[in-house]
Amino acid sequence: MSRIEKYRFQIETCDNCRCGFCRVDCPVWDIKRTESFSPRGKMQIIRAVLDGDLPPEEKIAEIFTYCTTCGQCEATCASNYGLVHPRSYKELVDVYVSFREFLKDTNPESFKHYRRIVENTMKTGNPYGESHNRFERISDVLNPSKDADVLIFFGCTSTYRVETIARSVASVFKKIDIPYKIMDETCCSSPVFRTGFIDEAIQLMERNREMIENAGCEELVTTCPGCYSVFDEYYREEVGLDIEVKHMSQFLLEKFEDENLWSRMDGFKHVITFHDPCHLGRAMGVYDEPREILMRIPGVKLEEMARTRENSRCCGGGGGFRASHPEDVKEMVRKRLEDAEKINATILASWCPNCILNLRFGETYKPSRLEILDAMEILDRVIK
Amino acid sequence: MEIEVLRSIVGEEDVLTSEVDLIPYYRDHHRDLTSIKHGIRPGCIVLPESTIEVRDIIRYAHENRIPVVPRSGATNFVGGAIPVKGCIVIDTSKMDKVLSINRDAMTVTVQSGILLSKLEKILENEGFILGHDPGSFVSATVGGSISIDGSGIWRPIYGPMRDMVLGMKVVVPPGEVVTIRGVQKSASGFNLKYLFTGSEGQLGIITEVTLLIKPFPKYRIFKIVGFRLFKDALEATKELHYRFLKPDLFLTLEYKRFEAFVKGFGLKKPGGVIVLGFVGDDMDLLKARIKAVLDTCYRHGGFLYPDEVAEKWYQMRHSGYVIKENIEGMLATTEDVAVPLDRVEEMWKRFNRIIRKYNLEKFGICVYNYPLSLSLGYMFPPDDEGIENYLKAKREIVMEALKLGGSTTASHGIGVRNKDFLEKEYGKSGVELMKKIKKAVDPHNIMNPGKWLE
Repeated sequence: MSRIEKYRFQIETCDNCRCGFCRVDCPVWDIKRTESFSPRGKMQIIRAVLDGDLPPEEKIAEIFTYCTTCGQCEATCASNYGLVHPRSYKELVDVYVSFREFLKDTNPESFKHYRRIVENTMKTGNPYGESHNRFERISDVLNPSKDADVLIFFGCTSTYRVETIARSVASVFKKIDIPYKIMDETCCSSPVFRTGFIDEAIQLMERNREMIENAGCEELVTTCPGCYSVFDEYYREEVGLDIEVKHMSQFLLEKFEDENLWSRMDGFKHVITFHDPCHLGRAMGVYDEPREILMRIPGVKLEEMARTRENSRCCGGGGGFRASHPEDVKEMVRKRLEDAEKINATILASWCPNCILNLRFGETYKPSRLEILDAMEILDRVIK
Repeated sequence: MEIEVLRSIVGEEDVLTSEVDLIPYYRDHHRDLTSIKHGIRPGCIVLPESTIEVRDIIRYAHENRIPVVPRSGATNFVGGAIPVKGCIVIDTSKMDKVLSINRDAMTVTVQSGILLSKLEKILENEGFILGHDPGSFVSATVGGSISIDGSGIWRPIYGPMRDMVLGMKVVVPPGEVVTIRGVQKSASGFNLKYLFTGSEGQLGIITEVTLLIKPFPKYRIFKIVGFRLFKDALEATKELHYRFLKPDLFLTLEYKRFEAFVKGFGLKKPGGVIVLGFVGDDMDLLKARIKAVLDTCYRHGGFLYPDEVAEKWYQMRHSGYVIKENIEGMLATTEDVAVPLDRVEEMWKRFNRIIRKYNLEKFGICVYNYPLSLSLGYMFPPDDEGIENYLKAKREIVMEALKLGGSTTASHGIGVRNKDFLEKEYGKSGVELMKKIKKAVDPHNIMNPGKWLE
């Protein structure tokens, strides 16, 4: 049985209902406005294909590249109010991911951008195809220990694209003197998994699982929500990884509390608005920890955008979308920057290398008066 | 059909013809038992962005006698947006702009494809509320709500949708724009506003609407009163009507219809509940109104639920909209008949008898008040026998409502689902008059054909 067949119940439930609540805040429907690009329409297409009423042709594959895996459809799904069929974020996103897997081999043209990501990752260990060592450029601040309870997984985007975030992670750990281990990490598999290349993703998971287990740490900590959600959910299910996984915000909040590190922070007089990364918020339910940390920096005032937390607007940076539809991403990120512009803030913060990369990419053609910063970059600035 | 002509009107990208683009337009939210899976294939989809573009499409369709099916949220219960073979579906999803807000006149003018939920967010930021909050609130549109003559839970204070509509622009065959001015009251000629309200796209396409907006209330208070028997809840409901004590939100429900909301609270199970809402800026006034209403309920044996239950009910109020999904292998549906106030209890009894007769399962009655209508919920197994029993039961429920002096539908509309009952309700002469009006406006029968006027 193919992976998508496991989701028959979800597909048929949606196809029988067709209420369209999912359309309302879907970032793809927001720019496309046709039913076939809405979550409700996609479910009907999946059912038609699975029932043999529609051949799985290229046009369908193209439609299914239009998903950022943000999970907003799940958050607004009317049957998910807890009365009818309570579900997790994963279910609808897993349906799309599994259907991508179903389509990928027969529709090479639509999946060519994804395939490049996969080939890069399998060859170099990162989706960007970079050949240099990921820690090479932060070696001056990197100070791993041989004996530590914490294993930090830096992730590809922070080490290869937004180096200041990787640098800030190393720098903050150095300043607050927490011993940590690193490993010869390979991509966590998030972009490979989410674009539907499940078999390849599992190979990557196996590589990391072995290294994680060999490190012998108690906790795996990562600042990237994509890595975090994949480790905490799919690694357990697919390769049986058994270790406590934390997002950096969860880990640091505990540390700051336990060791009262708040007093080591300089003042930072700014109004910050926080963009919830989809894979941290809706996927993992982590909304409060990043806010708690930012709010407790002396001088910081936090202001919320109209769309926040469970209803946070996706910036378009996930699910392989930036690779396959760079023009549409511009539109999505512009809308998110406009949300932030409406707030009387000086900083647009997030806690995700991928969101920061995407928001800064957006800023190159839609200049913003806001400074776009990752929470780790802010912490590195304020911690003495 | 010349697709190029349509493309020249709305642009290349806004005409869809491929099979995969058409499939999600085969059906709407209505559970059409004859076409659960396949539905009907339209000829193409067009997504206009203005009244002028809609006018040009209708002009082309009229000249070439091509059927046109309007569609916006497609959230209706009756198949009102189901296409006919080879038709042009006009999807108004791109007509979603707020054209103006006139704070002093307390009006908003919008394109008809705007979502109710989006409009309310915009209005709230401006300090206003429209107040149309049906089960489909999240994904329904202004145009769809008018076309179906819908109503929501705040109907006692803000009225059903028709009371919020002041003016509109409607495109009618052969491709003319009719403008109805946005004033609060007009006795000028036939009341065209009400002619188009509830016409389900069979006369024309509503493209722009001017709506009455109200100040966003400072306080919103919810109360839920339980009653040992549903009959007691009905008695209290009647007394509230007789004394014209009008809460701003006022629903009377059988417990079965309500029980999901109290899960986890460990509260006793009554026979019925009354859900109450009050809005306003003056707390003393609100307290006095709440007291008068609650005292009436207490006299009929009512007891107050904790406020958290009421808040939870409000937060989850739209979940009932998808109750028609599979529930433990059963399909659920509702009949939204209207009967006079003094026949509500009798209708409830007859509904119960029909459910027993056909061995179906009930998920309860909800009485909406001001204006009064019923929602009778029940479930059936999706096998041949279950479907046959459902169809028989549905017919009997509506026929009993009509016998009691009632109406087939209060808010869901006729569409294809309720078309058999129109003549029973209005008689031949009533339906003939409707058909004459239709023919006068749309002589080639291009506007949303295949629904209740055929």
